Amino acid sequence: MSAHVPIQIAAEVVAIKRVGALRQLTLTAPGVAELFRPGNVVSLVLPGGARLARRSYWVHRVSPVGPRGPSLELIVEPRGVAGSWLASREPGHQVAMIGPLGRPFAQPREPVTCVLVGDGVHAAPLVPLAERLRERGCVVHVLLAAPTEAQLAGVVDVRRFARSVQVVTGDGSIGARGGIADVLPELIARTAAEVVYAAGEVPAMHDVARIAEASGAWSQVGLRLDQPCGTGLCHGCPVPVAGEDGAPRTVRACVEGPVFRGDRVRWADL
Amino acid sequence: MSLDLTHPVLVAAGCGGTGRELALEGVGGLVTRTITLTARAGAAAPRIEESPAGWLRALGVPNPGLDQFLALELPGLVQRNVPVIVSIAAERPDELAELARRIGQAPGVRAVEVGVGAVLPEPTPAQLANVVETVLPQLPAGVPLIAKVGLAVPGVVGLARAAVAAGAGALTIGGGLPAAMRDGRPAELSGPAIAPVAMAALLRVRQALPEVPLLSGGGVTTAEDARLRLAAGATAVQLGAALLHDPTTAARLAAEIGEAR
Repeated sequence: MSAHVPIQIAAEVVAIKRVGALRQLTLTAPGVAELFRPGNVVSLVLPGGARLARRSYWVHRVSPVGPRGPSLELIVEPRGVAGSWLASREPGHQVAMIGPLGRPFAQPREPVTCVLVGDGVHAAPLVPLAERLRERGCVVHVLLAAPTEAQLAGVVDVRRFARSVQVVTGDGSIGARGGIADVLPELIARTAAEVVYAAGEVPAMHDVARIAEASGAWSQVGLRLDQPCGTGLCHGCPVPVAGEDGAPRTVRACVEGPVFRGDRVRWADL
Repeated sequence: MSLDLTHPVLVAAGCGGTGRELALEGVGGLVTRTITLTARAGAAAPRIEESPAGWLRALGVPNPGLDQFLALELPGLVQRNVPVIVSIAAERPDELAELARRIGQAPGVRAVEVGVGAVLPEPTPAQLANVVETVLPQLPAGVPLIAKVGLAVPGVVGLARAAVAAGAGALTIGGGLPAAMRDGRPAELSGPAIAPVAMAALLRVRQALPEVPLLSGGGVTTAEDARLRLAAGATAVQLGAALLHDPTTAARLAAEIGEAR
């Protein structure tokens, strides 16, 4: 049994730009960017020594080659301790990072029709996923949801790989007013999608899993959960699942996830 | 039975995942997460909260149970060439005895650690002595018993004396301090915030019991911390919460601290 030990680096901020109310950070990530697969996260450390829990972020896009070497992008909401700190980074600043971490989205062997569902800022991993699916000959339809237009992530980038992109916002500032559950059943039916991929907060992912199952589609959901150590040591990110044998288990989002088959998560216990 | 450690930097119980997730080069030993007879899912989320320079944890002993541990985890750990110390716990003496017997016979187990933890959070000296007396007869001659006596000052010396009188071959002066989550659930506080308390507990036990091998945990984060504990009489240090913040701490401190004492 070989040990899986991820790579720890001091990532340097190359660029930071505003995307609506969000920030997109580009960081050098030698060794991490090359191993990345869509659905992976990186685990970051806050400075100062007072707050010790690490913070996990979806990897958005990676660039294995570039003028500064391998780099990756994160999309950050400038809220809370970690988000505010990251949003105030400037080029040249360093961020302690471990990655890539977690089980990525499993991709189909055959070309199939897929629906990708992004919950606000957590749409970040869906852009590279859409690109990979498209390379495999899949037809990709995308649904992006957010409270307001300013909190939407990935809209422009994902268009390059998607047959269609639908947007809903809670306040109707762009697209239809509403949420994922209001439009997903019709989208799956209209596109005859066989697989639904999604990433976001637990309530939205529960909606996606429930709707996919009712529609006869497979779902893979990337759960946004606190991952205090990010590497499987602390047992602080429990996810109740049903194993392949049907037996209930509690697994770690950081190691056995963060991407799960939607029909395997015991949502009522999460 | 002496512990016979090759290096004085160990990984503490409950902070090394399954062991697979951690770089262990040069480390003197890995104490596994606590294993119970049957699998336990652990506590509901949130299990972990931040406290200044510390971690609040209410985990509830998540583990795969003895059978799964012996079949799926222990063989891989033994192959890593790191001495494996298995932490065990049970509410009932018959369960504790069965755990001790089967762990003690498993190939590659260097020692067994038992005592203060989520299953027995604040024992009396008599309760801890009972635990030691239950486990000890089940272990083969070559597998020493380490009693974890916590680090709650005062009281730690009484627990330490009771455990040694009952036959423990070494003591772990470490673990978290009794604390509470924001919602009031019982928790343990660990991390650099508790290092001075752990140092006080170590010094008191060392003074009371000059000959007993002592493993010192609680807030050890840097090589300086480890050297202070060793200078204060610890046989080895146990690294715990530091790994959650930086998983490379184990191998790094092992390299910085050098040879066994």
